[in-house]
Amino acid sequence: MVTQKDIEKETSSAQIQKSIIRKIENGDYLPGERIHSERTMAAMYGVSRMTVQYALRELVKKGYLYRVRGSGTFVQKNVVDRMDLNYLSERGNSGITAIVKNHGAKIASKVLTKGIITGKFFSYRLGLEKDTEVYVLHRIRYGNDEPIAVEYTYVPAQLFPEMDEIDFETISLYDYMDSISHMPKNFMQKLQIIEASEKERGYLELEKREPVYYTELIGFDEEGTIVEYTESYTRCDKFIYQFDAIV
Amino acid sequence: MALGQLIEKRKAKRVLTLDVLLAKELEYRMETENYQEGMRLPSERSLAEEFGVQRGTVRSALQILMDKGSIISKERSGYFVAPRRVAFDLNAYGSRKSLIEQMGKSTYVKLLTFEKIYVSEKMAQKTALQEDSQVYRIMRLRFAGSHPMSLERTHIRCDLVPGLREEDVHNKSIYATFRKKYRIYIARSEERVTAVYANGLESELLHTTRLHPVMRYEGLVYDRRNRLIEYFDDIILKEKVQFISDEVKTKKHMGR
Repeated sequence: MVTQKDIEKETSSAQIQKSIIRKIENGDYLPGERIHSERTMAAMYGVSRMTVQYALRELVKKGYLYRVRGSGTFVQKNVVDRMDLNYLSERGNSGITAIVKNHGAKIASKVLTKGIITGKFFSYRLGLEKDTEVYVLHRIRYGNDEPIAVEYTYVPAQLFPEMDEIDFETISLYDYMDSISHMPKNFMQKLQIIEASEKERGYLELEKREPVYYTELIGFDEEGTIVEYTESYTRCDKFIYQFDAIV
Repeated sequence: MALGQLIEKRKAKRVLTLDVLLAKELEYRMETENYQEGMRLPSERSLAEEFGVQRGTVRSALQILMDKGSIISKERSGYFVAPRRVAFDLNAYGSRKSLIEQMGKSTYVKLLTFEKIYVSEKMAQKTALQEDSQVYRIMRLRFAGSHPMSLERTHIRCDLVPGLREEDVHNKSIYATFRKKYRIYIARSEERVTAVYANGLESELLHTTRLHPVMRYEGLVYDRRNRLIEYFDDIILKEKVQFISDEVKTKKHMGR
């Protein structure tokens, strides 16, 4: 029988696992480094040693940690390899497809919905006259078969007449845009970290309260025409957002 | 109302659900009609009437906006525009103080710790600071209005700012001290934003719960002579800030 206590153990263990994974990803725990002792961690997280042990066992199973008998638990080497999520970087990344491919991973997409709509909000964002038709393309993006981002994209329908015929599960939107000389070259962007809502958590296969990068992006082609407005939810454990700034 | 038209479109195409369309309609309104933070939204019932949709659809649309953090709900009194986020510029690094003050909020930093430490091997690997060299480790808590917003931790090379004192950084701009006292002019930074879970100390200082997701904002700061000056590592309440960039100079169409 599953008792309340088991459930508590399960959730706090999941939280501890997550916290340790973050520490590894942030470099607080470096590859090959010995992590805190079970006793220290039990005190740190305010849980029993049993719970800590359970969490560590899980992370060993998942390949984040390894144990050395008699000396402790260590961080596996080369577990962290997050992709650099910065559309604006001078490294020439453009779009998640390129980022994922540059990283040597397999990219795939699932189209959630597509088609023409009108709406004040969308025409406003795209700099169009009111009630101009906007083409909607909502996709889940996968890297090596794992969901990494949900992208809600809106483009001026008039600029992209073939949207309906293209299979965006196999063809990248930017490739299509590029082919008709409307590739976004400049971006305006807004970046936040939010807790994903139930819907996006479902798409991204995340647990409750997990934070994601939320970005809003307006893309301009070479001529300065707005060609895209995209809202995306991207997994924080798969990407890292880096940028250079000047004073 | 345009939503009627949207409904027609939806019938034809079924591209977006009604609650999403309504959420977007409200977002447009909040932005173009310049809703101020704390302003109250019309009731569920009146929105349902106005747009000719079910109460359930309205509730679901409002939930979408709550999930995004653009509105908040207060029990038994309705929905309100959420406090605005402080906007940090992705391309320009600068004073947090002036950004917050530009929003019409007061801000101050409370000095928590000020100490001289040796750079550990681990920190050296992470930050390009020289191992075993000395840095001032300074921890400050920043308030925006009367609420804590971020825990600002920084590590400054001792060799570049000899004799730095607590008084130089207590509720004062560190960069102003750099300029005035040491003729160090900050020029650029390499930054990153990630999500972490608040630990015990962080959650206590920021008045949040342990393991609450927060934003970690780290950076290496260089001066005009391209010398590494400091490594900062801030923990920020993610609800309080956003990063923005205007790559293109025309500022229209991107609301915040």
